[in-house]
This record gives sequence, structure tokens and C-alpha cells, in this order.
Amino acid sequence: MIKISPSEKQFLIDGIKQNMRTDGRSRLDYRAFTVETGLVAQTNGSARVKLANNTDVLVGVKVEIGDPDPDFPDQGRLEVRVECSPSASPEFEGRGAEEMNAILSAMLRNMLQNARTVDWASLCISPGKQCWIVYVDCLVLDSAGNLFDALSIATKSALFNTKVPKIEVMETSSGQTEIEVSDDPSDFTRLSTASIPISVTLAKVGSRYIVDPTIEEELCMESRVTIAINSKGNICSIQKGGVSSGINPSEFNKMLQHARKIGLVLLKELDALLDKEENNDTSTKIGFAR
Amino acid sequence: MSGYKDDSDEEMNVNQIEKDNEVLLDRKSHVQMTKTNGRLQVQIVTPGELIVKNASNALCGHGTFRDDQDQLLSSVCGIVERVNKLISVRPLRARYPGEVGDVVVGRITEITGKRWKVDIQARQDAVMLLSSVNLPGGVQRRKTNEDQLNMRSVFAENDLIVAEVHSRPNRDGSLQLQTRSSRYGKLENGVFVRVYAALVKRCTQHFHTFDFGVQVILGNNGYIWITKKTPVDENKQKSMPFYTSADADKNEAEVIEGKDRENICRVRNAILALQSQFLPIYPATILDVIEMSKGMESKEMTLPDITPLITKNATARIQKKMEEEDMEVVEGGY
Repeated sequence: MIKISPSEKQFLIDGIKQNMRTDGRSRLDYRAFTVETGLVAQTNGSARVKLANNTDVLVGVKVEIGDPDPDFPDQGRLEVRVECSPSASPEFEGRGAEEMNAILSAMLRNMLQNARTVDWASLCISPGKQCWIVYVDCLVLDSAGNLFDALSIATKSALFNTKVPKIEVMETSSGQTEIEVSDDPSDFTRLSTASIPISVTLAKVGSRYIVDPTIEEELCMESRVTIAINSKGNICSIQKGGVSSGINPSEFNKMLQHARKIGLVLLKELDALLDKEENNDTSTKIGFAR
Repeated sequence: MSGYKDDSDEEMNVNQIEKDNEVLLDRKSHVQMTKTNGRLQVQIVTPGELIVKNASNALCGHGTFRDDQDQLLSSVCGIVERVNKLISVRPLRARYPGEVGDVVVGRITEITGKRWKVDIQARQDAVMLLSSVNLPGGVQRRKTNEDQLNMRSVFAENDLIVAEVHSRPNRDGSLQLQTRSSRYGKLENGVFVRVYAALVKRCTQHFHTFDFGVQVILGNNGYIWITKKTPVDENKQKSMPFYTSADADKNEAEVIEGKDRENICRVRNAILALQSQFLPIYPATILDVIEMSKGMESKEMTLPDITPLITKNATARIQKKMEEEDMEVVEGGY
């Protein structure tokens, strides 16, 4: 657990008031982030996202054929799991990460499960019988604040990178369906990821709010609002956290506007990065050598 | 002298690198350096990497081990050092080993009985006894039971302090600190940065004030404190050797604003830029980076493309220094 003295806290709060944070950013500056995709060979799609070399998350997507959810027989299934590694912080050792894992998984699941984010119906193979199950496994390697935003960016990137093998469905004489998965690795389909939102977290410190808080700033914040924005600039989900009593509605409106603006910029940046990644050959990848 | 052989008589079977290249030994730091294509290089090894093939005559130092084929392998990631037959590897990202007399910055983690426990990025928390601090107001007297109850008003948990390594009282390697000087004490109203302890260069002065009014305390343990230069107030200095929690409550700390805050950010980002390029951190290199970063905003300094650019001068300085030392070694008859 990172610790901070009352004096350091005051210094951070003063800085936020003066629009000059300790790393030189203003209140609404996001840290530079890097994305690398296709790093884990055993997955169908993977991505690693780093926020300013500090917050570091790895997401792997694996697709598998299985039974659909009985409540949604004509859709694919989503399984999300977030694991905070003890390398990120000693407090995650043993069972210490369980609570954090559960919170982050639930938030990510809620954000992705929305019917409009991914075309879940296209992942149905045979209604009520078989569908694609999409396993999204996230590993938090290092944590320096704003974990959830990093996770949402990494998840979108990993799903973008995901290659679903082409299959052929055949009816057998006895009325059973038989599935043939293509052996050719270059024979695949992509998921439609354009409408997957990313989240922008705003932290309220004193009477101001900041975007992309560092881990020290997270210790100073009173409340936090995580807003998911899609490429159309629409708000897909909102979640408030933190200890304070609440946020004034008029201020909340301003926060939404800012989050929308920042989210759109981030999405544009991310799309450019992902396109670049897609056209890059594997030899230029740095991966885990850094 | 019987039974003792001089090193020079004995031929050591040292690794391949030594045969291929001209091997130089920096006499000051004992770092083993090789010269390849006119450039000085240190030997960096990773855990399990071979250092010496036939190590029957070599002495196995810190960070090394001998395998069953009598090879000397590294057990850590670091730089190979040699003192005659003793071969050791100095790890690059290790915890702070501690040395008596070092200036360290630490964070109070616990108060027990009549001692504070301080986190100084060492293997275990350092200890600071109530008897090794100056009392608020600077009065010199025996510490009473009452003082013991008031320890939290001097340093409370999570407070940052600057102290000196006093001694190594136990065999387990734990350190004891002291703040019995007006230079040491509680740190307030500034920024704390954590870097690798190995990167902080040992200097005669670890308190440094830059011309632009920023003071840094480069703790030998890799904890660094950056704050605004405090105007020297003679009267205050005498009556109040250092701030205490009680004092801070009384007189509200001055809010650092505008240019000063910007400069503090700049120094902080310069130090982090140096760390990201694995360059030594001391006032000269920090200034090099700040000089290069002029004309850009301090927040730009953390961008991954910018960092190599602004550390160019610092890199050149280190390279030049290594070459100068190389010359000395050659002139010295190696």
C-alpha cells in the first residue's frame, strides 16, 4: 500500500487547485499511453496497455465453442476475469486482490455486456445449443493509478485484435448439428469493435476534478466517476465511487461534457494506434523486452 | 609469506571477453570494463549468466554462485566488479544496502516503544531511537517518559523525514538512523520521488539548491525530496532546528505557486527521465536535462519520445566521464 503524508497530500491538492499537478499536467491532461497487440501467442487476441510506463495491464481474449446463456439463447457468451498480480502491489498478495478483482471484473463486464457494444448475436452458432464464448482475461502487472481506464482501453484493443476461426455448421441426418472449425489459421473473422466504449475516470479532489489520476492523487480524491464513452460520443455507462457524500448535478453535467470530449480524443488516438499495430509486422514488436 | 601466493603470479582463467578485448579495470569503482570498437563498455550480466568459465581460483563474491562444473555464474542482474580474485555482481535494482553516514530520506511506518520504524527502501525498516532525535525547540536534555508519549508530535506515521545512517547495531543488517542536526528532520511542502538506489551518485553534498530556487535532497537510498528553497532565517534557525508536527499545525505551510511549482515539476520529471534512461542522478545531470528541456512544458518531459532527447547531454557527460577515467587507468600503467 502506497502511503502519503498529510503534507504531501496538501501539496497535491494545492497543485490541483492551481492547475499544475506534480507531473506537470493540467487537470484535464491524460497521460500518454502505449498499446501493443498480439503479444500472447496462445490467445485469439491480446493487448498490453501502459499509461506513462507505470500502470501496466495485459488482456488476453480466448474464444471457445460452448453452451449459450439460457437467458440469451441466441447470443454469444462473455466471461470477464480481472486478476491483480502481486507484482503490481504487495497488498495484492494472497487473497488481498480478491475484492479489487471482483470490483474491476464487474465494472468491465457491465461495460461490455451492453447489447450494442459487441454484436453478440453474430457469435451465436446454433440458437440455444451452441455459441462462441468470449473469455476476456485481464492481468494487472503494475498499478500507478487509473486502473480501470487502462483496462477498458486494453480490452477494446484485445477484442480488436481477436481472430475468431471460421466455422461451418452442418446438419446431420439425425437432426444434430455438427461444427467444423477451419484448420487454416488465416481463415478467420473479426469482431466488430467500433462501438465498444472506453472509460474515462474523473476524480474529484476538493472542489475540482481531474482526469487520469495517479496513485497518489487517488489517495486524495473524495469521489470518482467512471464514464464509458463510445465513438459516437454517447455515454454508455456511468459509475460513481469513492467515499464522499455526492456530486452536485450542475457540476456533474460539466464532468460529463469533459469526459465526452476527452473520451473522443482518446478513442481517436487509440484507433490510430491500433491501425498502426495491425499493419506492423511482428519483428518490430518490443513486447516484454522493455 | 609461505603458503600465500601473490595474485600476480597466479594465472586466472578468466572469461572469453577478457581474451577478445582489452580489459580495463576502473580502480575507483572496480567495475570491469571492456573496450570494443573504441567504446567503453561495462559487463552486464543477467541471473544465471556465465561470468568465469574455470573459476577454481576465483573468489565467489556477492551476487554470484559456483555451479557443479566449477563455473562462476551470476545470481542477479547487474554489473560485474572485480577486486583481484574476488568477483562480484553489483545489482542494478536492488534494495538500498546502507552505509554509515549516508543521507537518507525515509517514511515513518510505525511507532513502537521508544523508537520509530522508518521505510528507507532497504531490506528491512530502519530504526530511529527517541534518543537520537533533537527535540522541538532544540533543547538538549535526557528524554523522559513524557517525551516517549509525545513521540507522535515529533514524527507521526507516514511522515517523511530526512536523516543520517547512524550505525548498524545488529548482525541482521538493520540500520539505525539519527536526526541530531538542524539539517535533518521532517519534510514538508514538496514532492517525493522514488528511484533506484543504485542511480543516486554518492556526492559530498546530498542537499542541493538550484539557482532557480528549488532544493533537492538526494537520499542515498533512492528516495528523493524536492521542495522550494527556504529563505534562511537566522533567528528561526537558532530557535527552531526543524519543523515538527505541532509547529506545522500552528503556522500554516506556505502554498507554493506559479513558477516555483513549475520548477519543482521540472526537476521531478528530469529525475524520472534520468531514471528511465538509467543514468546516474546528481545535480550536474539533473541540470543537463533541465537545460535541454527549456522551451518545452514540464509535462512534455514525461513523453516517451521526448525522454531520450532531453537526456542526451547527460548521456554524453557520463560517456565522457567514463572515457576520462579510462585514460587515467591507462596512464596508471594498466
